[in-house]
Amino acid sequence: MRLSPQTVAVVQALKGNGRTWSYGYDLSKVTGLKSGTLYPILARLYDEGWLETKWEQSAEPGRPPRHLYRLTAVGSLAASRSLKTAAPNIRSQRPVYET
Amino acid sequence: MQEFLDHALVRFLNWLMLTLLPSDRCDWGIALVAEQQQITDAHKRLTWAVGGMCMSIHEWMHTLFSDRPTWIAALAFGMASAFVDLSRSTRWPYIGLLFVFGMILTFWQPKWAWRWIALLGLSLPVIVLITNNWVPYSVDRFDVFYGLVPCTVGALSGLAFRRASRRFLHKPAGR
Repeated sequence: MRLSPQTVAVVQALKGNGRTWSYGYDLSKVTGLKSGTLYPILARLYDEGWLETKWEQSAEPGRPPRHLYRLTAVGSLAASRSLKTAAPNIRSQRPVYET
Repeated sequence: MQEFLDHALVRFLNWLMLTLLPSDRCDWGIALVAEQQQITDAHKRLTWAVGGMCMSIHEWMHTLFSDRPTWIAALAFGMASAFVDLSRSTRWPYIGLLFVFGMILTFWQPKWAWRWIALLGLSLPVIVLITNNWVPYSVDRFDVFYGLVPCTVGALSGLAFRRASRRFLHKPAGR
């Protein structure tokens, strides 16, 4: 799988969270990527089997369920291998929004 | 008032995004909209919704230009059919070819079959326009689009044939 700098940023953010589930908006804040870039990347990672997802019911009534993401074991292994040869981390090039 | 307009625009963009997204990507669109609820700033929420539209366009284009072998085959078939039409005095070989090619392509790749109909049916008008050879269609220039009809019929036949063959192949043994 070809890893663009944006994909590298997403994979690194997910890898940094280990087995903890991540929200899309949080990933966007950490990587500095806009939703239009982030979600196609997440979808591709899911297609490749690198990502697992689940829906979580919102604690606040009236709000829709949220989608959560984390790397699969296969994804984590493949990411470690690919990240060694992939483009440098774009987090240093992009602004990081405060949480 | 401004808040109301922003909210309406965001809702419209969300609706458009979910409408444009290919069916196998709908969950991602719903996930994107759900995350939007976490954003309190109206401008950021609008930016997030615009991002969703970008995703829809990206995914739509990705699906449109997927199946490269089928695209190449459809282009080749369309060109060949147009050449046959322009070199023969009768239209029946062209009609027959378009029907058969439409059926083959749709049987092969039924997803977004309108792409193959458009490629096959519009090859002749494009070639006539490029070569400026309107002689066979000098009486009524719109006749040049008639190929879309046999293509559509062929594509529908291909879909029906594919569905029937799948039903036949998956028929449980002993019945």
